[in-house]
Amino acid sequence: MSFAIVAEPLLGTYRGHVGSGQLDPLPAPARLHAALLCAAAQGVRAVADGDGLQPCDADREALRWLEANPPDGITVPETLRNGDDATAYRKEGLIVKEGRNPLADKLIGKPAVSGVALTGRFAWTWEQEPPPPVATALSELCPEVPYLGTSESPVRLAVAEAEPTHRLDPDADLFVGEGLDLSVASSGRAAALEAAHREQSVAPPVKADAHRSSEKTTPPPVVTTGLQLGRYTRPEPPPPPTPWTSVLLFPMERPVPPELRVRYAVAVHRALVSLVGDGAPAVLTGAYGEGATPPSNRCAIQFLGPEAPHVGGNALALLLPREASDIDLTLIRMAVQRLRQVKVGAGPFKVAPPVEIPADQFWPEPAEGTQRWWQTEPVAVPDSRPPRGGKWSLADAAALSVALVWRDEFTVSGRGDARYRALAAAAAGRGVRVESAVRVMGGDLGRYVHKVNPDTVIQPYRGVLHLGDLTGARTIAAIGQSRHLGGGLLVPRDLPVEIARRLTQ
Amino acid sequence: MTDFVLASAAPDVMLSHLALYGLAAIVEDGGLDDVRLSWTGGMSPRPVLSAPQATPERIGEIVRRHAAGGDDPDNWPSRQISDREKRALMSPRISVIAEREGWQELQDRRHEVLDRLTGARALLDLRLIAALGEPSYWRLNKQGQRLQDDGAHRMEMQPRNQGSEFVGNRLRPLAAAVAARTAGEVADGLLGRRVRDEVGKDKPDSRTPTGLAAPGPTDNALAWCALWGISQFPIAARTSGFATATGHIGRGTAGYYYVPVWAGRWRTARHRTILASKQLAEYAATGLTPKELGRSAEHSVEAPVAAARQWLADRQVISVVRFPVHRFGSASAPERRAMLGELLKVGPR
Repeated sequence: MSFAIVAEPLLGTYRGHVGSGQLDPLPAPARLHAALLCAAAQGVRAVADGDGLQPCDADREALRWLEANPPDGITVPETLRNGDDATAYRKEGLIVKEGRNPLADKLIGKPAVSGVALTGRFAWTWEQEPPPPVATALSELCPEVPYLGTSESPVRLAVAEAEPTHRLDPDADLFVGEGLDLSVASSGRAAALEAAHREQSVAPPVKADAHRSSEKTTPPPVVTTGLQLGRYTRPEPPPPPTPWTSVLLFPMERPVPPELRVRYAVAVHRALVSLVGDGAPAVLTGAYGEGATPPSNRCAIQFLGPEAPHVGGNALALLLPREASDIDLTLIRMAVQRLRQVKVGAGPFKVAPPVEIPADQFWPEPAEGTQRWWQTEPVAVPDSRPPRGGKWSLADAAALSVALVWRDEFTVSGRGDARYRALAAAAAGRGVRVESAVRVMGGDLGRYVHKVNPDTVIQPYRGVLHLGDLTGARTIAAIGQSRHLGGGLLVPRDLPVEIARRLTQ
Repeated sequence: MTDFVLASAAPDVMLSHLALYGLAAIVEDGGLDDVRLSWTGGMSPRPVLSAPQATPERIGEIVRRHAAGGDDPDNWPSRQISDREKRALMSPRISVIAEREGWQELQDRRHEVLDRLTGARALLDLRLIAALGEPSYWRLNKQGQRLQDDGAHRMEMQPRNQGSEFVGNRLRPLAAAVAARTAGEVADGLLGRRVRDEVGKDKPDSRTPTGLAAPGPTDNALAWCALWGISQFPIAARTSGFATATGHIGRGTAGYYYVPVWAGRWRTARHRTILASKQLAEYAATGLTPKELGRSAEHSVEAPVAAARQWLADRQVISVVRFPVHRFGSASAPERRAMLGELLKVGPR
């Protein structure tokens, strides 16, 4: 159960200043605390204290709770800062020794407080509901607060529901990282403010109160006791959906050598199609009807070596695409239960019944002090020939392959070569970095692909790459032209943070 | 390594940064070996001076001795412009000198002080005097009036009302106040255990911070160190305008001050090289319009900012604090002040 105090700015603006008159962009939790203290000490809930008023015990308790429990989150609307550098001229009734007539009611110019325009409400939220007496005191104190900041920004304050846009980060460092650094009241704040108020309210001795030849207003000193900075950060957006939702993992006895993986995958593919039988779904066969737009990813068949997680050894992995319908998936899941043996030229191999693992929880977490990068296993093959007009490297080809796997994440205009270039650039914009893409030479390169146009030059490569914010650290995926049949699988390659930081810059 | 934390020095106040720089300069000059500067972590970082012998007693004694030297009637802060004119000879901004002979005499007397300090190898004193600048006899406006203040450092913010000046009205009283303390009291003030403002009489509108912070009671030992921190920001005099001051960008007496914040422990020499770097100045201008910088609109600053950021990041600078300078009070003798600092983070985004 959460608890929130919501402030509705009645004029759609907020005006306040910090330091020696600098614009305050939003009311900090400390300002809320001060406003509540002011309401408690001057509103209808205050109790007599000699000639004056003071907060009642219930309100003091509520303020102490606020000091001990900074808001866990805050809600900040969109704001727009208004013009700056205005001077406000006011008659302050002071004697100023300038000009001919010192007793004239002189207009005195001071920096005016500009403000911010808002699109909504501020809120301070707590994940835990306060004790009932505190909650009662706060909900009765809130309507007593007339304004936040200067008296020109009236608010309506209430205990209500609110979703935080920013959350308190207890481990933040002031000089590093992003977020809103706001002052928060800590223990002793209310007492310090009350003491300062009492000191200011004492009438000065007559001698000190006499007029002078030149007078100035002296604002009371800013009380900084019991203030701390808290960083409120916007929660990171969740990574986009994984290209493949889950993995069917079949344990195997022997590993499949890298150069035979495509051939084995084709055999598995054939076996699966025949197990499903007539009407095998297109996401498995890869044969789409006339005019149908094929999805970004189909069922992918991959082989994992002895390092494969979850089954503790060699495995055959069938990756189920996100875009498949429930009917197709059910057909495939039913058929694969019957997969026991696959015939290949080199002799048949056996597989054990599969386990199903969510794709975003496939790999183990990266080790402490490292950042997760990925290595193509065994090799990846570019999805297209190099586009014409300008430079095109293997790294660009790899970035394009990544963009084609997460195609729904990118909206780029153009067609053909221009579109390919735009997709590669867009992937780089999401933090995709390709390090050391190396072409694989020699031997029969055709064994790394299944079917290609006879005119195409096959350029398999090994690469180490970072996927930016496209996916989490544990997701299984494959890239490149042969991603559905035994090529371009991305396996973790954890780099020390120091090195990774250099590479991502 | 012993850490000496300036616990009352908040990072969004210019005075805190200068106090660290000045304290380091003073204790190094006073013979403390292997001095390093750093900042603590968390959301309330504080400046730290570390050295194998950075004990409160040792540091308190060095600072006290340094202030006593400044209070010495034979030393340069006590020198007057002439026998008739009480104002301090080494102040960068003094009352107007009209005649040629006056300038000649001022120059002769200044050179005599500089020669003596050079002979005594008083490098820190020379560094502060060089950074503060001097009355500019070489600057005239189109009407032939002398622009005497254009050779002064921007961080010297003593208002000029009623003929007050920096050395006589700020340095001298502070030197006397700090010299009158015990070593322990000096250290207590620096460590933030007790704040005593002898010069400002602990008044709520005490001007002891001299524009480096909002008016208010400021520990005199801390203020003394902060004013000596100006020595780390050299200036370059120019015939065609204000002297260019390290740590200041923007137009004239307004504009912005900037200082770096770094990870790890730096020696003062390394710190000085970063402080004076072009890259730091370029990065400090991030997000400011050409108008705010006092440049013409053609000067685009977009491209160098990225390069400057990389350069700073490679040198472990994690943030740059930028302080807008505002003017208060009368137009004839405005009071300038560095406002609360804004953090420009350097780290990867």
